[in-house]
Amino acid sequence: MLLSIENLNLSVRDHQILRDVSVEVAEGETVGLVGESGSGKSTTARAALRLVPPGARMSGGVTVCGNTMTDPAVVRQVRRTTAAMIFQDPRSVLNPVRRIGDSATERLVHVQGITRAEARTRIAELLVEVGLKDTERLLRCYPHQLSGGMLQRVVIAAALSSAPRLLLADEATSALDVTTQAEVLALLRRLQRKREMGVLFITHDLHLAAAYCDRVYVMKDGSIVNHQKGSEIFVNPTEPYTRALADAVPVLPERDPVEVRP
Amino acid sequence: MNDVVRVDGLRKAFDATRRSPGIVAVENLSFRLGKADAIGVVGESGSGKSTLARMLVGLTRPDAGTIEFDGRVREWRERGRVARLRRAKEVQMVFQDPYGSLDRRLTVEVALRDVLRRHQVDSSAADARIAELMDSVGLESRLLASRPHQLSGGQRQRVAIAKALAVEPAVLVLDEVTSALDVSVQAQILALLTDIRARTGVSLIFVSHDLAVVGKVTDSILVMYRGQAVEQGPTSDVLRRPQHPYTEMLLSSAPGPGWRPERVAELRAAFAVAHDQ
Amino acid sequence: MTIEAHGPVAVATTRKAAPWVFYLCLGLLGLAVVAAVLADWLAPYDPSATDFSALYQQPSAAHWFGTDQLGRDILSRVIHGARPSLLGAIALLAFATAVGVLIGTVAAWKRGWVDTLLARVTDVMFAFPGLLFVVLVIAVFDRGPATAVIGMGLAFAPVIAKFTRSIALEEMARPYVDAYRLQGVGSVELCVRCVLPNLFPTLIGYLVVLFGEGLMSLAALNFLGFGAQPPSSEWGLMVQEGRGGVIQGIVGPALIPGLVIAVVVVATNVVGVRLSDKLAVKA
Repeated sequence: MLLSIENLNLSVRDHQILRDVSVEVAEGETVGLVGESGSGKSTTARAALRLVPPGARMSGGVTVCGNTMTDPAVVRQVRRTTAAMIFQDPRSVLNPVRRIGDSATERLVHVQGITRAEARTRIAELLVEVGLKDTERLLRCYPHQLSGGMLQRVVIAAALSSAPRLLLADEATSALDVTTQAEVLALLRRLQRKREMGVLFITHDLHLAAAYCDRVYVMKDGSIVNHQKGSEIFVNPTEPYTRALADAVPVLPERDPVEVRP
Repeated sequence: MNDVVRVDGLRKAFDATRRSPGIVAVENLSFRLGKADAIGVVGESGSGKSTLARMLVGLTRPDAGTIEFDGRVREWRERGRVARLRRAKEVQMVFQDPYGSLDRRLTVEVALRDVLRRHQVDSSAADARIAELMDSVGLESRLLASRPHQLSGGQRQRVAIAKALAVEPAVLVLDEVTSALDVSVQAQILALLTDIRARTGVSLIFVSHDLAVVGKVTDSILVMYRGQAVEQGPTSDVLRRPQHPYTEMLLSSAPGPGWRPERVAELRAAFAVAHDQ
Repeated sequence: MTIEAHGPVAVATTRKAAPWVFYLCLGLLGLAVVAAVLADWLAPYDPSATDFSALYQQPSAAHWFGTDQLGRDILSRVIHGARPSLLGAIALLAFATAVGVLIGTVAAWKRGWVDTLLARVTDVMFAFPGLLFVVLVIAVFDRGPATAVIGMGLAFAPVIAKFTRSIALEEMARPYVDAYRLQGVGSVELCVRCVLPNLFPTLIGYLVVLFGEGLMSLAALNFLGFGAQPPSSEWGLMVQEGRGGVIQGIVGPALIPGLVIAVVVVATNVVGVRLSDKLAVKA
């Protein structure tokens, strides 16, 4: 298992945020973690990398690629190379006054210790891989000059630069238009297959998780309430909360069959 | 002649100078809206739908075109309190951000009373009206003493709707009002809007990027792409038999059974090629 | 860029003064205020009573802080100096705030050429050393406490105007302001009744910090002899009068009021920073 979270409990000041959460992600697998705000889905992902709020008490086991996440040195190593995380708002992780190229090469230069010039070539290659053109110009741009979809691709490219085995995507496409979202997801899937990467895909959108993920965990009030295959979750939701969540999402009516044009 | 709203040839460009035409946000846009009808304005970010919403309520001044409420053309030169209060009764707006759209100093009651006082509801009638408003947006009266930071996102959005309704507007513009909410809360707000429309006869202009959400609450849909209306028609027709390739692409983009991101990406690339020609 | 937190757990910490420092500073400020109000009862001696048999006395049981070149009790003078010193700073700040908030709000509200004009005027004021400006004002008008306060106030106003403008712009971009507008609220009412009250929490914290600076600037002005005149025991003036003794190796008369100024300035800073944090959280 790439990521294995076992019976994770987390509380901050007598307030229990996670209860007995167990999540597994295998190589090359896309696993969805779905829930409404405050369900603990983001906290779970962050706890996987031991990014917990100050004063939090944690129990249970977390291993990433076989590394037990307790020793600070191991945790640092995992955060630097084995796992990467991307967030909803790419603007919040990119320094607005630094050029894209400087932000994107940071991981390579600091972690792998290669020169800035080498890092730029590597990032440029990755940018092409995430479907961006004119990379030389892009690397000289500032974040405000690019659209959200482009920035999210840049962030993905930067996250992939250290060749992580595990990607934690926290609402990574939620702020994007549906078409852009689909493009970014298609890209992510391609890269994932190529690199045999495991993805923990956190979203509030049950439809999206069902359509995109191999397996889906549904969270409510800090606990996992359902665990099903993505393809089955709408056909046969086995659990009442999942059903309620599925029913709450408005669906488009069936489209009329397209007439064959002569 | 019974149209509550008539919009003709609306146009807005930003950063226009004598030399460059600027960035066109809305171009030659027209539509009609009858009493108690609901129209959805759909488009991706940058399609001009928010600019359109702001022009409709008078927060942004159009470069060209006319907006009529109940047969009265909106005049931009008109100033003064009487004109302001009359415009307020023509149209109100609810915003996307439930955290920023309420004055954080004021309790729910003070905020509502403030609106009513401004619109000459005397204080004896105000109490009854406040109770009625709270009831109509499904909020318990114990929340009257709460300030915005004590309310959930859904509750804040209900307060914002109550404040807009307090003016008794003919038209309500809703700009992405459910985008920041959880799905279960979103469903409640959508049901509330349908209910309010049926009871008060207010006309709705529902701006959103989400076709499925728009389909829930509207009778007709206007699809915007790069500032222009590419498709306009009854909701069921637009959703079932889209005429424009852009609408079709939008419909295929929404995740659901059989959805594959790769297919959407192909459609989009194909559309971009076809459109640029 | 993705996760690059170092250390075992990412902990968000902000450097904050320990609680006891805050309470100590609050207590010191309280003491200054009490001295200003109750000087007549607290001071052991008349602040301007000279005693030529006791010049430049070292601190003793009779004179806790010693005496100055005219044999006046320094403790009594410091206590009596609290009132003109604090009142001067308050008046200065009140005047600067009135002017600055007005300019800042109008600039944020009107934008366009009004904003540009006001920005240029405040920039010029910024570039001009405050003290030099006040000296000019005093050269044109009369010297005296009122001129000093007004002159210094004018020098402080641009800072407050800039600050007010930036927070007002941010506030006016919030959708609730648009909502007010759509309800039919006129521009003036919008600024005065809806936006300004929401600026106060941020503004007050800032003003408390500025108070220390104002106190210091006024003291400097009085030290130069442009403000309060003898026999006032305003602290800046006391430093100036005590200057003569320093050459003879007697530092008390100049050092003690100087220290009092420093203590009050530091205390207002600590209290101001904590206060603005508190008010910001509440908002």
